[in-house]
Amino acid sequence: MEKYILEVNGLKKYFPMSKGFSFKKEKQYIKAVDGVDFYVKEGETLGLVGESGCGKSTTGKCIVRLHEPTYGEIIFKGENVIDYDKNKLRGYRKQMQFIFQDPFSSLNPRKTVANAIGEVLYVHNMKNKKERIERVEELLNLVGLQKRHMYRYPHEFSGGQRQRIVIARALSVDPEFLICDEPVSALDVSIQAQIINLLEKLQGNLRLSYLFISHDLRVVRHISSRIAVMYLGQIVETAESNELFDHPLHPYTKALINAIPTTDTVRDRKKILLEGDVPSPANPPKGCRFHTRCPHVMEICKNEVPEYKDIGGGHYLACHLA
Amino acid sequence: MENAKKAARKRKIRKFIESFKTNKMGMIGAIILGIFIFLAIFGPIIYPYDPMQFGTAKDVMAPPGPGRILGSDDMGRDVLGGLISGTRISLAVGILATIISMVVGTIIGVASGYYGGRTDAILMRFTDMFLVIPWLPLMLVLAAILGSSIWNIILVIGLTSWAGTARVVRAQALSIKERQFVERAKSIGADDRHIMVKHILPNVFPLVFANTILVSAVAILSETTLSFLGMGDPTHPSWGMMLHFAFESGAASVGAFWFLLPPGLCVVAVVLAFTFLGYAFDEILNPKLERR
Repeated sequence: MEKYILEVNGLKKYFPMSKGFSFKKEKQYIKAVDGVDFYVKEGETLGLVGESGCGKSTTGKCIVRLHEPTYGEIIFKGENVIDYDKNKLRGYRKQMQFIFQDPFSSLNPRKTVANAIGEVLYVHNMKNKKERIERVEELLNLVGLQKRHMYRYPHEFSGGQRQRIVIARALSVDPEFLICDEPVSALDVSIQAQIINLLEKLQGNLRLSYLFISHDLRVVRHISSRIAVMYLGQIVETAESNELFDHPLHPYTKALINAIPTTDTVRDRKKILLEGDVPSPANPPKGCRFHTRCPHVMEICKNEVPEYKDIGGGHYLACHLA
Repeated sequence: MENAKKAARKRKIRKFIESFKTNKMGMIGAIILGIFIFLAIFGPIIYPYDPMQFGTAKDVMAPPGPGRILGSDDMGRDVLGGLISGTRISLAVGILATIISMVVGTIIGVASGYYGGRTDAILMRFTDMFLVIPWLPLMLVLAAILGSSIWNIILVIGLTSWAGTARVVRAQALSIKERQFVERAKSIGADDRHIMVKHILPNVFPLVFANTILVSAVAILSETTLSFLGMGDPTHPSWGMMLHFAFESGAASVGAFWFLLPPGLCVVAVVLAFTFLGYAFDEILNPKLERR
């Protein structure tokens, strides 16, 4: 059996809705993440895709415990992170770094690059001032920036450079796992490629595992070894990257892949268009969550929740069609 | 590399000075304040004065003339000398009281905004209490209980003027703590103290700075008020104290304007200078008001 560095079982995150006074006895919840299972093998990249609002980022934040999960297990290197106390959590957060989507707001505008990158070391009481500066230099080199950038402020950099700074910062404590929450969606396409290549290079050199959260299937396909597709707080299909693209089984996955824009004008594609909007996560549909928009909807879909199970070769699926 | 850091800081300061120079209000304020600060520091050396040295009977309320540019007071002391030595007291009390007020206001504001919830509710109700209590009676009562030493005056003014600052700082802290870099700091395992000191404080600082100057004006005015009402420290005569003595001795009714007007005008000038500076800094440091 292969080693799983991270295993997430039955993760749920409900946000209570509190708009004004309510005399209803039942409290209403936004079910942002509602029973998510996946694992990440050591050294691989798991891509997590889905449209906005499906709970991708919430899942990521639950894993580093920025949000306290309502229910579920998060097992990192054999230990359940949910049980960690304050001290152990600090140690855990050293090994698990988070890269945020927006490089413009995730850097404090009043801190120099050296301060921003050295902060993680400072927080974890690692190294003295001189060693920290040396480490910062080393990291800047690693991500393709120069020593002279050290004492500049974030507003003096472009989006791509900022994201490099953010990556350098995440790497400063030699983490083993990076959660990248849409790290390139705020960047130009040409810069996206640079950052993705950088992340791939670093993964090879530093033996990192990634959870790569994105809504951009092309980017995810490029970087991930396996991909999990999320819809309305649940994972509907997981498979090896190529397998998923060549043989998508879930109607939602098919629609997503079909929607990727191509430059190929010769091939006549049959378009799959999904009708309607994503239902509200406060009141998800009964049965299969996708049944309101599914082109192959059957009677059973409206009443019974399809089981999320292995259908062979590491291909997981939650659909009554299979 | 240290040089690069210094250069970056220098650039910032130069930019600030340049935009300050074009601000007329700010320049007037700075010049007036500069004169008074100079007087406070060097005045007693240039123009020696002893408040305990009283004049003879013919000196009492003597009008301005040769040898005494501003005449003399009810005890035959030189008014100009009193004015210059009063500058030091008035400014020192104003500035020290402001520092106390800023420290208290900033700590309460940041803690309240960052922690939120119950802490916020308790701290803000406490702040509201200080905001709604009429500050003059409160200061009078406190000054009366603590006794009229100059340090007590500073303490009393400082501890009654922080509420506005706390409110402003809290509002800013509320908005900053929702920014992503704060969330990220949490995700790397930083504790609350680190986040407040390293992330929130630097971002509320421009606001605190602009507020400091406005509070200084109020603090100086408060000191004058307290001294005028007889709560001042008689061993450290400030401008307010001079006004107090002028009022007591009936300077207005005998027409001794040289005794009454100069300290009053000085208070007005200093308060005005601080207010001008405050508005100028706000205009420069507040990105929303920035002229481009």
